[in-house]
Amino acid sequence: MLHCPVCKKEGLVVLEFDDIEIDYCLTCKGIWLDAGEMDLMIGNAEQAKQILESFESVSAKSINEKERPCPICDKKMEKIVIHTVEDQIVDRCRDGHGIWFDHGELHSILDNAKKDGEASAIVSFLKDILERDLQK
Amino acid sequence: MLLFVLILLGLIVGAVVIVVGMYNGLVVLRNRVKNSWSQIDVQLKRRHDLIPNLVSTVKGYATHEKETLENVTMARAQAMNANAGKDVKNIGAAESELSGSLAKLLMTVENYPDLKANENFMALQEELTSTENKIAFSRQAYNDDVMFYNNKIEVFPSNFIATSFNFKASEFFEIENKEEKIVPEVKF
Amino acid sequence: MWELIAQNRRKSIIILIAMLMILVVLGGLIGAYISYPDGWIYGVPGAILIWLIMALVAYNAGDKIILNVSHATQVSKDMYPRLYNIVEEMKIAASLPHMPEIYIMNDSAMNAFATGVKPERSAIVVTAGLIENLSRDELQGVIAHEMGHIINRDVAFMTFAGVLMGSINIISHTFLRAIFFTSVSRRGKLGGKMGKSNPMLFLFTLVFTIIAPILASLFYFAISRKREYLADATAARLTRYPEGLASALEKITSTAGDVAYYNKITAPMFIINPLYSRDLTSGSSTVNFSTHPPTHERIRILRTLHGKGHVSMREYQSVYANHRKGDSSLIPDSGLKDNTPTSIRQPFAGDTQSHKKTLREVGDLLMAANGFYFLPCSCGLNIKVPPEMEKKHIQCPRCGTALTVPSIGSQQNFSQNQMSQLGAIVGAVAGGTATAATTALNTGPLSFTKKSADRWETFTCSCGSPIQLSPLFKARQIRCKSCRKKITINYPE
Repeated sequence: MLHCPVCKKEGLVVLEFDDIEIDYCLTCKGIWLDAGEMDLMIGNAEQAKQILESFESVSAKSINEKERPCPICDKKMEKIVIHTVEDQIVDRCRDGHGIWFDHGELHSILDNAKKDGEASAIVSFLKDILERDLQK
Repeated sequence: MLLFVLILLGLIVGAVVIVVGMYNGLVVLRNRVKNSWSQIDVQLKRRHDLIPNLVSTVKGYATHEKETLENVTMARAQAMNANAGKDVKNIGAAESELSGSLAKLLMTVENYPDLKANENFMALQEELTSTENKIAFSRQAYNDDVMFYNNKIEVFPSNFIATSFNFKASEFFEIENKEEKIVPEVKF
Repeated sequence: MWELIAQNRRKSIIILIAMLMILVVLGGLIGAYISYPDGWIYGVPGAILIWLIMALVAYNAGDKIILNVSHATQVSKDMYPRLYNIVEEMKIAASLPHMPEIYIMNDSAMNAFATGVKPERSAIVVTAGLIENLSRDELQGVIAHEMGHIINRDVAFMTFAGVLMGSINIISHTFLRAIFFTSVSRRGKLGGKMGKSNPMLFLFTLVFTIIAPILASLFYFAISRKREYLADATAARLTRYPEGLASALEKITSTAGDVAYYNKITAPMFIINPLYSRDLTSGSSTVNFSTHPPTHERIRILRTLHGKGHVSMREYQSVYANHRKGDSSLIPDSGLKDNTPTSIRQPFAGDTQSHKKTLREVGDLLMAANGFYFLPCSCGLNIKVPPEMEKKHIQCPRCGTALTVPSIGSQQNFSQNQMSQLGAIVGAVAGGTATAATTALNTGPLSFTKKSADRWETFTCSCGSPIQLSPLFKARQIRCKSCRKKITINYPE
């Protein structure tokens, strides 16, 4: 069982839709997006890797956010910036295992994301799978 | 005199032991042939059981393949008939026919992508492929056993035992692989 | 085939005796050194005793230990029919009287191994990565290769040789460590006696202790490499499709990065549990004796064989001899006579399933084996809950529906079942009273209706234990594993 990086003791449940899985915390509603699943969404491992690596990292101290452990390897994740209409800071595993989105973060990214970006496949998928969750 | 009787007795006992040994050896071989036949039989029956399911699944998608489907159903009925008769040669012929019509059916499936993606069909195809493989592999084992047994019946001295106790040669099981002969028709 | 096993056995026994000699000499020398000059009387039986205990453990529980260590879960036919079918096909092709058990290991690296000292009690273990990435023909090739190890009795030999090697390793390691510590402190009993007793003996013992493990490994690998080729030959003959194994090996080597990780696991396992475990890619070595695994050579031989259009042991032998500069000692002559060449079969054409789907299938299988609860929602979302999770009520994040793990026999579910069963009961006891219907319900058979035909589903039995239904489970009835109650399964239209 993977543990939620925010709620620590809580486990993540697996949500599967259209043969793609994401991990979801029932308590804080955060999302873990595994690198392998990103490959499947985009359909090309090289491209998925490029997208995952394209985000620039910022130091955790400068933005005053707590560092969180990667659910896979338990090492501290780095903070990265995702540029949408507003910049959003999320956590990425340094070993490339995946990305963690807090509930609010994902919300804002999905609302502001450009419709034609390379990651649009991911955005529309996440919007679809979390339809109800995001309305609240 | 006593010595002569003893020697005679010894010879008789020795002969009996040899005959019994050879007889038992033949029985063991015959049972082995029977046993490996039953292995094939299980797989043939399994194939017969799978076909109605396959036909009904394909029917739902491939509406233009009535003739091909009918051929498969007919070939299955014939194979089941032959199977009841226990004649290995007949069974082989009927099963070859069935293999051929099945191969044709699976080839037409190529034209129906929806059918190919159907989960039920994929499960059936896996089972069918595996059953075909099992038939092929158990046929090899059966034919090896038959060859060994038939040889024993024909060679000296066990051929005497075989003729006096009515051991009959077994039939090889041949399935002609029509699949390999069919050349896909290309239409423009 | 039988000649092959007999020849293997003769060679094996020679090797085993040679390794046993090393063990005995090692025990004797150490014994003599510790208590000069008669200590060998205790040393020799001591070493043999260590070996016997380890061999006994390996023989009786070895397969169980290795399966536990590798966290492998057993799979049945309705959990993963393709894998089961392939193993069964190879079992038939090899005329093996017993079906080996099948295990899947939760590891994304591609690998496989066989365990079990006796063919009647054998098991084949494959990693999840292997079934996710290989086609049917490739998987068949790998399974046939493992089956080759089982029928050629390689597993038994490797286990015992491995145990011997392990014993030699343990003894020499312990001794060297003891020497090291005592000579550093210069106070211990061993160090004290060293100077007085016999410096020549000490030197000799020391040298032998250092080279014994190396010698044992050399013996061990001298024969195991050939066994790989032999298993390849067997696989080609069993599948009648050498290309399958060849392209599987190619795929496996191309992901060599993962294999390094795998080696790290097996290498210590090998010393602690000296059981037969073999790395498919590096031929047979888990110790760095062979720096260049002959995989490319194995692939070349298989491909050449495939090009010939028909396979037999003799054919493999001649191709092998060509590639290995005339080395024709792989298979004994009599092993070549009794099989006639058979033509290469057609490749399997049904690999239409997408990679994504296969990944999910194997993933679900492993989750099911680990006790995850499957909660399919009617909106199409599948929720998979780890068993440690306390929450049994979940709101679907997609459509908002409240979901729980259904349990049969519970109050709430009865009302649902009632709807479906009532019709039947009313029909049967036309005009019967309501009380008659209720008693019929309470004593009547338990039933569960699946929500969808092609997904995993979980429900809890009236005894409280969870039951997993695989999408491939199509039977009308299932028996609860803990309370043995029969439960009827209904399917949606």
